[in-house]
Amino acid sequence: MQSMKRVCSMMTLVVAATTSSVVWASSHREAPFITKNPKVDSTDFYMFRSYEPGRDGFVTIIANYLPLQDAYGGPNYFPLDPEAVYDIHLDNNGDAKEDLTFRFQFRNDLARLAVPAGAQMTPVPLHNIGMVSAGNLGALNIRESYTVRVGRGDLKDDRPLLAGFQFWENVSNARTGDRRFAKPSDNVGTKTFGPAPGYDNYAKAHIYDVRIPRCNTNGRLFVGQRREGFAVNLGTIFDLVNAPAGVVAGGVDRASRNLVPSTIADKNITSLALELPISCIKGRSDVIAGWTTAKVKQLRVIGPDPSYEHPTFEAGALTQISRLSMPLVNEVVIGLPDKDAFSAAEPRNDAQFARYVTNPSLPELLEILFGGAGVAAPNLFPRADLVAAFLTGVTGVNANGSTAEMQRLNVALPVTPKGQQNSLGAAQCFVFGVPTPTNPGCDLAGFPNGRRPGDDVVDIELRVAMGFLLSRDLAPSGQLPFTDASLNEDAQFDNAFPYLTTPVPGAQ
Amino acid sequence: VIHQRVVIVLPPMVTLAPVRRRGAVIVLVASALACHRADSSRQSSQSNPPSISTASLPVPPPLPGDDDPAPQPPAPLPENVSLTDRLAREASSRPAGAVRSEALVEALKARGIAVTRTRQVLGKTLDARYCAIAVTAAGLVASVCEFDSEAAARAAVKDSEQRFGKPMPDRRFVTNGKSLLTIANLRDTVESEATTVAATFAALTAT
Repeated sequence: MQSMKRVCSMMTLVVAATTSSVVWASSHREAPFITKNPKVDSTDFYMFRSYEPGRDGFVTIIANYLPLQDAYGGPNYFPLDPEAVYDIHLDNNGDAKEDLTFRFQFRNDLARLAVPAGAQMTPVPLHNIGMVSAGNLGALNIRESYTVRVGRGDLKDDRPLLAGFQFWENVSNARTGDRRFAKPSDNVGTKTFGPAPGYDNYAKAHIYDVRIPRCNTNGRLFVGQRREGFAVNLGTIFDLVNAPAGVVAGGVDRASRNLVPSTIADKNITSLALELPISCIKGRSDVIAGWTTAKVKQLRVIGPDPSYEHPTFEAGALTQISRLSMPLVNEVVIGLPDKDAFSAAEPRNDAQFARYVTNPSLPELLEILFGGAGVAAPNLFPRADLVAAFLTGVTGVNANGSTAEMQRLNVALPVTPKGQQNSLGAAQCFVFGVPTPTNPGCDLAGFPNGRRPGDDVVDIELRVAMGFLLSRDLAPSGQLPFTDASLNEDAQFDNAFPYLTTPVPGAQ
Repeated sequence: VIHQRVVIVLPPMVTLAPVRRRGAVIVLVASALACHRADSSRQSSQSNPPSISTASLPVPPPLPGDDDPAPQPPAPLPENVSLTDRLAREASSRPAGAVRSEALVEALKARGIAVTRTRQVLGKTLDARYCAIAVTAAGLVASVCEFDSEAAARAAVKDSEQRFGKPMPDRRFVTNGKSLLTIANLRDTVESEATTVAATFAALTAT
């Protein structure tokens, strides 16, 4: 009885009561099928004008994969899938089709380190057998590397189309000309990499200045393990929203939005980060739309005699099984029957999912759970406000003419430096849905105009779902300060590329 | 050897997309029909004006006679029942002698206040036996919760204030016997409507 009462007092944590079979983190294990394929499970997608001082001529794009990594997860840790391709797509003309695709492909080489045991050299079972640094990889048994290619044109079905010729060119190291980049080892622990800033220095040695074909300005590239940056109050949610009594309701101020630590703060993820010159990726419009996908081959044969290099045999067409742009869409918007279909769909075909946005279930569930206290869902169908936020972009801010689920960034809007960013993103720029840039706290550089690491998308989306952008007659609870009580803000991140911070070490 | 055999029989490009698309069309059409039927009380703001409806309220069970003793509260539900089951249980065990949301809605209609929709909501939120909300065309929310006793209804005011008062400071509470009315989304432009709702509820008698 008491726990149920606490459940009902948790005005803001209610979302999970509806989604108890999935992990409610931005996009971690959000669809049934992707839970079988963690190496290609995209978790978060960020796209923002770089706020590192002196870099405002660039856009940083980060696609995170491989969720919920426990830092101690050796001896194999968390290499990406060498049989898969990981793509970052950009649409710069508003047709919901990629004009630029950055394709990452990985290779994992085994050094076959061995030690003498009696009369023979016996291969070791470990990830490394000594200290590792950027200049000393001799003790590292597994060495990951990758290539990045850029393709131009429509990538439909991963084949060039007559109407949109597409081809691939290699991104290369601007200093050496190399086309293959080293991916740093995961953060095994402080004995391997030395005490802080040992791993940090090692990882930073893997940030590359890169030459991008057909671009006059170099970009930057980093792929490697990072500390999970997404914050969400997760554990109590799945225990029937069984929150401590002190965690009650109402993100009326920063303190009340920061009552509990993020449940996944001790996890790591793997980031694919690019910093691209705006001049290189912008089309005629100032709005760039982006999303990430991962594809695997259609056929996987598990043979009777696997080796390190070939544990399976994979063949067939590359087929998309993971997709992410706007956070939480496939978690709390798309219904369970269509989650796998959404993971496989392309933005151009998103009309099939429109009903989940125009007639969302989440506000109705919030109303049922907290209606007794006076909470009510918006009384507007179709939800044009959500269509603008998720499918078209907001007119005058980041609309680009298409209706598709993509993250849209207006690169003409100014950068907000770290320390001045509003964790509620651009939400404060609207008064009952009317763009009001003079409103106190307005930060147009934030979500849903792209997404920065410090944008608290859980709080923003809860409020928008309940009608923050609508008038009070249409959205009786639209101005309530919904929060999950776990804060994301800019102070939690670095002020330099790749922004996401040093991963949690496997051992201290 | 096995690998080579597989390669030979593989078509160069296998796509299941057409099958998937046909399935999606079927699902979409079926869903659209189902939604059309199921959501009769929530009207599209673009196609239909708001209308008064109580269709979404469950039909209450027959009430015992006035001179019957009050029914015993139902046995507590286990914590792990689904939301749907819990709502059904609450709808089937409403307390006798409580002012009901349906009565408020009818009375508001008689006074010319348009109620755009109603819905049963979770009573457990306030430890009530049953709750339902009504939303007016102006967006005023009138939540009526039914309790086992007048004391429980009065206690729920304090409880609601304590737990929800911070994010929702501008609500108004009216108790009437075993029932509690919570009016939310108050603002100057609906003040007179709120006053009418409160007075109407206060004047109702339990059925």
